[in-house]
Amino acid sequence: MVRIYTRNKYATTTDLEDGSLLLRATLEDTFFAGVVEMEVKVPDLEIASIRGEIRRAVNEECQKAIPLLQDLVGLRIGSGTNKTVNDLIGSSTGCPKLADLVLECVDQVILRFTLPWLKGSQSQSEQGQIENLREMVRQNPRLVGSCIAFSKGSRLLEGLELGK
Amino acid sequence: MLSFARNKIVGVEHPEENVFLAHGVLEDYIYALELDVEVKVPNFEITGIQGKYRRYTTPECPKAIVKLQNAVGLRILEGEFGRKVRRVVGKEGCTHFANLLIECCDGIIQAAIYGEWQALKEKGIAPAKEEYLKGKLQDIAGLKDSCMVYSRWGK
Amino acid sequence: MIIDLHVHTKSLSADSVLDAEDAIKEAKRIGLDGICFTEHNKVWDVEEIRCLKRKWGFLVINGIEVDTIEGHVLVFGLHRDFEKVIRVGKLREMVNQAGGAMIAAHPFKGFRAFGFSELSLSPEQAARRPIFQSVDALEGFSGKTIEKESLLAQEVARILGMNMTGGSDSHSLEEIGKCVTIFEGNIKDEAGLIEELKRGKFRASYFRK
Repeated sequence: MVRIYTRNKYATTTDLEDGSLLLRATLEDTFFAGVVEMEVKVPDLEIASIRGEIRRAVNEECQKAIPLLQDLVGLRIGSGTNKTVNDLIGSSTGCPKLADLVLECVDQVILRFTLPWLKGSQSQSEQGQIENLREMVRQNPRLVGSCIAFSKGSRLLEGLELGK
Repeated sequence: MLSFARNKIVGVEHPEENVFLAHGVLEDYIYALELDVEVKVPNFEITGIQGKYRRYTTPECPKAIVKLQNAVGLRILEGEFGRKVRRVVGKEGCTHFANLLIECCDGIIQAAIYGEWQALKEKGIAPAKEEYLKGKLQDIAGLKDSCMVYSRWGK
Repeated sequence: MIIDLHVHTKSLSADSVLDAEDAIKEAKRIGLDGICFTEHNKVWDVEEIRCLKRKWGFLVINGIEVDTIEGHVLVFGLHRDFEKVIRVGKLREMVNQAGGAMIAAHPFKGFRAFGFSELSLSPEQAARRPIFQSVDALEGFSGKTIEKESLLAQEVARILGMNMTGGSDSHSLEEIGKCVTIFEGNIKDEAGLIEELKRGKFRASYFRK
């Protein structure tokens, strides 16, 4: 059977020397090719600069969405970012593919700061890893209910006392 | 040096008139997972789904595999599809599987909308691209206001 | 007067399961003196709020939680919906014209797996955020922030000499009254609330255990 459509999406994070993050998200599929790159200041997680390119699209008019990216400068990645990005870039007056690439960059920021918690437990025994994860939940009670691993019935939550 | 990277790949097949199959892979510094999704037209309804982990973070994660079945019956062109997936596959299972599922379904939508024109073009009987796409605005609800180009054409 | 300044109902906030009248009943039951419906980017009809207030003999105030680029803002005194995200400076102009008041909602609400303290965001750095130049108060006690996020907000309020409010940000019944604002003055309506917010004679607190 022959593939009729293919998609390759790649997103990366680089830590810059001044402590800020350089994020890049690229999408190349059968009909579309585009890239978004942004710099995010740490620790505030503010978008300091952003640029994008649509290299291939179904319609030439899609290019008109690129300048909309500048509306995101000053946005702090945090609560409500998805809605803000979709509203400003991805709605009926924008390009949802461009918005999606921005959100891939946003995901990168979140995953990049989640990684240290998980790296720390790698060399430990299974029990050590579980304890490390329980400590992660104690410190970040918002994880509770976020997925099956941190839901009622999970070993990770058994007898766990959470702070406010 | 990279401090994080994520790669997602989706391939879509169209084995029968009314069936689309998507195969997706997600690989990053923390997770590695695969997904196979079957969607049938004309309702664009998920009729089958299977997934597996290659790499995950907690010993509880494998319990999320069975929760993938919560996606069966969802219609990928409905307005609230992404939100429903994030709830019934993500929150109840695994947010990364939900992420990959949305990616796979978007691939199917792209294939369904644009693939047909591609096929007609290869046969030498395709209408002009704009004419073809304007026709699709009538067929596929939700496409009309989905971006700046379709909003203008839909007026 | 003890008022929960930040409540979402299913009438106008898609992510809430809270029925407006159930919210009022619960607020009365737990001993609050008033409740504010601050829906996501939408306002209640003024007459509907008046009817609820009369029906339950309880202070119900109309507000809105507006999405701005710089963060979420609770607004009182501006009776319009917002279709899109706007800049907080633009919102300030609109609220000034309407004679209303603005509160920075949960300004340091973090992420699931980490918070701003893990990123070493100092209170001094945090206090420099532009949103604080445009609001009348900040939400130092929020039902949706964890303790260290609340402590950061409280420290920022101290550095800036800003007043602090409390609100539950509730989307379900059991969340109502988690955090409240305690006013010295007597508030009868929205205009009264705006006056007291500008007077600054109030404090914030946890309430419901």
